[in-house]
Amino acid sequence: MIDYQLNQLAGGHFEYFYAEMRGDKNEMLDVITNHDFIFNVFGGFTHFTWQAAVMLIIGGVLIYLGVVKDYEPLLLVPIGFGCILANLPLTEIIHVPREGYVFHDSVRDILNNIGLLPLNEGAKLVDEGILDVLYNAGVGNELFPCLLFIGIGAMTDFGPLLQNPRILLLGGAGQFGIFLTLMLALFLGYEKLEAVCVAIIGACDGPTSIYVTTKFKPELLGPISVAAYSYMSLVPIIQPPVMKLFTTKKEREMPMSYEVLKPVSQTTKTLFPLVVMVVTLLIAPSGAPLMGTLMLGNFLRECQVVGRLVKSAENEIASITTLFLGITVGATMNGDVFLTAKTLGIFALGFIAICGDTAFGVIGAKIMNIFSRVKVNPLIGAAGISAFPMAARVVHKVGTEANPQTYLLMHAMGVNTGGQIGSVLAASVMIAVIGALQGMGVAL
Amino acid sequence: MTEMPDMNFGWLLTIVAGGLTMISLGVMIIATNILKSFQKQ
Repeated sequence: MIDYQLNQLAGGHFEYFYAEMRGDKNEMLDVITNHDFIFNVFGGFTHFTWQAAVMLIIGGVLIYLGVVKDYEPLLLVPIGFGCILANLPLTEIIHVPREGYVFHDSVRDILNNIGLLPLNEGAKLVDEGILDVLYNAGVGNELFPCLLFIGIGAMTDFGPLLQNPRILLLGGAGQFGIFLTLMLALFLGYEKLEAVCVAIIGACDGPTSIYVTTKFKPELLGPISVAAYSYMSLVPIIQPPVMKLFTTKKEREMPMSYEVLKPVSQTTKTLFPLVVMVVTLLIAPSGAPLMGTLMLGNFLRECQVVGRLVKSAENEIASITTLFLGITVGATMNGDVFLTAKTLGIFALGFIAICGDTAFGVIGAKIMNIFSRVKVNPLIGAAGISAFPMAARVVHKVGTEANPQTYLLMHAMGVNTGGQIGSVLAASVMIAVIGALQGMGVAL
Repeated sequence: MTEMPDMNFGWLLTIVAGGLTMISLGVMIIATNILKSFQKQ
């Protein structure tokens, strides 16, 4: 209430202002009680869907697996966090699926503005979110997996493999789970390139799976990455029953000698990555980003003159890339794409891929024994997958359970590093064959 | 655009890619053994 006398002194201005304020107050009340206003201001709640709720739970589960259970925490923690971040409504932090959007100031936007390239029907013009920037910088162009491979190559010691090079064949045998899964996926009705991306989970190699999926079916990046990394961390649980199924107790007890293994010179270790790179890229040039970066990292390590670069590759480069890759991949786990029967199928087929790899690796070792004077314990074939060094440790553990006198670890390590090469080689060759088919005009 | 049945695509990839993978690994084994043969004993 305004003082009457004060108002008179002010020439009635106070009453005027009070009437204005009352009018403004009514207008403000009208605005804040308006349904559209409430809907948009509290958009985080009003736009919250059941799919977002489920994806938040999934993100939480991935974080739990990484933090509490220590399952591949380097990847599952950022993937889980990115999944939560991207599925909170209206954050606009990333836009998936990518085809539905064009970014302001991108080349397509500029060409559209000058009338040269019309935007696709239904494409929305948006500002880039921070994870869009990371996606465009390193995931969409397949850069981050390759940078990660430099770090992995720098951390890998091919010494045990070089002491007994024929175990490279077991690294190849361990990749046939990929082809088994490919046939199964095609039989179940997956499209050709979808089946390839699902099958590559059998490579048991995160960067390879991410690289191939981004290349052929980027919309499946979320489920395939999560499946690949989850199953890699579950290798100690998945592999032993399959190994025991495909071997007899007598075979598992077989000891392996280290006397026949001669040390390898540093020159051999230094030239090996060059040999692998040249052989692979002559056969499958499209594998250059994968095999080239893996062997670059290893060459840096073995040449022993670039210690600083090796340290950076093993630490800073690997860590930064892991973080950016993980959070961006997690952010592509959009509820609409992830919460489908296809995702369940991906997880089921991924499991079959790992089991198949283990089985084919063991069978490959048994076939090798038929043709070889010096026998190997068939269990080491199961290490022919790229899950280094976990698969080698699992093989050693199952071997010592059967025969405490046997020490399979170094042999299994050699096979495990052979599996690393085998997985990248298999992916490179598949990319080359698919590229050749596409060049011939085959619809894929 | 030529159409290729899904299972034919699968077999093609399995045989060609699988075969090339094993052949490449065989070549690597031979090359590695040659490298090792130049090692000073």
